[in-house]
Amino acid sequence: MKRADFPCLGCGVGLRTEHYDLVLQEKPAVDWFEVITENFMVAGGRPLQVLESVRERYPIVLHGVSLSIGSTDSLNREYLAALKKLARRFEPAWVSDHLCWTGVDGRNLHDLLPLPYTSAVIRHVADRVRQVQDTLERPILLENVSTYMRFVESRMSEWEFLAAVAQQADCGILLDINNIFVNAFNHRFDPARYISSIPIERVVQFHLAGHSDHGAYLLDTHDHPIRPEVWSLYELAVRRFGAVSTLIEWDDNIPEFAVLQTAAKEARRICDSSAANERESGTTDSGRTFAKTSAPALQSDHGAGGRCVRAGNRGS
Amino acid sequence: MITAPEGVASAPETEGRSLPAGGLSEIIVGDERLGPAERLAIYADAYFYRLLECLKDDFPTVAGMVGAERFHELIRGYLAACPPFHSSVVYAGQFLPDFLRGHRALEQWPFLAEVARLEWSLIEVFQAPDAVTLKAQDLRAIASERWPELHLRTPPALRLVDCRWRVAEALRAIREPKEWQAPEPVAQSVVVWRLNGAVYYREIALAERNAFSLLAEGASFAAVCERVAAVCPEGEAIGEINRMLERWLGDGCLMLEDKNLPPQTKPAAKRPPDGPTT
Repeated sequence: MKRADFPCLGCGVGLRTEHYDLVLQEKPAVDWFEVITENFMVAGGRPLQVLESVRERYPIVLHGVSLSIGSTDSLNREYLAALKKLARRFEPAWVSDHLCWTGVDGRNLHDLLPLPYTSAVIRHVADRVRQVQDTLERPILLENVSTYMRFVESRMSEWEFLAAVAQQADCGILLDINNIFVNAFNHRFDPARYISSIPIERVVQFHLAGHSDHGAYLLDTHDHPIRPEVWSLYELAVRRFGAVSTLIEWDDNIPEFAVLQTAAKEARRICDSSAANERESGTTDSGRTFAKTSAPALQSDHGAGGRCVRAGNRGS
Repeated sequence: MITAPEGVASAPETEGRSLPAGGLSEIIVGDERLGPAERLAIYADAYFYRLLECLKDDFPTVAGMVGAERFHELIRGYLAACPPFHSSVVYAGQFLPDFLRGHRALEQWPFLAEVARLEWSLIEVFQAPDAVTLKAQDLRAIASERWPELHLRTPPALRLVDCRWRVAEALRAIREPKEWQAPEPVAQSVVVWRLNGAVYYREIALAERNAFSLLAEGASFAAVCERVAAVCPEGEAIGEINRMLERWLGDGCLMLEDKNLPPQTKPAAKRPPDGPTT
């Protein structure tokens, strides 16, 4: 897997049912949309019609929640077949899911559950990722999840685990900046250290979202604006990884679409600002910037609002 | 273990699982802010409340009838009996109608299982396969002599729901929302269908119910006409069939099975009762 094989889509937002009509009628200026894969694994009806129309105008990414890549259950071949069919139909820029498990003994808990950070689990997950990639005939991205507990059995940090899985599986990373912040609070580690330990060449996408403060812990609720501390961490990530395709996630208490657009514009501003600074100082790690564009892509291939421009070759 | 909130601490014992001598702290790392059981409880709560909200969205009438507290308890029991297996949370409520049959909640709300069945039908129809439905102009293009042999059926996105209670009115009232009346114990049939991506439902009389029942399996137009005529007052069958046909064509409730389309050269066996009024 090479990061350069993936397009730089720019700054997009999650497509949610609350905004279907607006997106179809007003065709708002947004670089790309991410959709929850399982919501479109249906036989027919409006969701698929909406996605057809959206895909005609925008690049999309399929983001799944039920791959259950860390489970000890066999891979769900029926699910993979449905995912492959969906990907062939809609030609997403890429397919992603989470580094977690979502069920066992056939049950689906519809949650993203943490894994023990051990070498055995790395081998287990990496083997399954390779099977998934072979089946789908495309590389996938795995996202770091928010967690509220760690296992005594773990023998390494979360960032070492994530990096090792991506390396052994030869897959990409969807780095959720908010999840890093949430986990740093919940498990007391330095989020900057996490960012600085992830291999640059694996990171294809960022997630940004809001969380809730419950005092003793932070909960990844996706129902608030992105907190200033998370924006700061994003700036740090952009300095390290360059302009990575960024997605604004909002899943509950969903605001007006304009609020999501504003957040996407802020992400783009940070990327552009970082690029300008690195041009001045020559301190980039990744050398990736977004092209100057804000109009939605009116094309059916993966070319997006911001084509990837490699300004250097200093990836680690 | 993760089946409902408020039960994590006692769950290992309840489930008959043996924990290490040190308990959960030998499995899960805790600190002075949150112990292992409290951390596990975050997941237990999230599991339950996520599905509770999902089922509240999918069964708003059931939830509205029993109230928040009873719905919470009802879903707690449901998830313990029927935990989700499907990769999509859309199917989480698939077995709720069956679960409610024989549930003690029926003592107070005897129509509850039928309400759940009708609400689940709306979800089934919403995501059912697409199909090319028969339009009025399609039918007009076929010589009326050939209509009796036309093989028709309902599309995948259509359900016929037979109820023992008049539940459709209550469903409509709660979803509007406005004050609802307890359904009367009077038999009622409801057809649920999809048109342009939106799901609709309406109560139907016996003649139309019988026609849809036949069409669900696929039937000739002549057979449908005979079925309708059998329960219509004398002299009203043709008008009734015309009205039904017009509505079905407009609502996308009919499909034409091409393989049974008689060849142009084949003489019609008999003339249909009448042409559509569309």
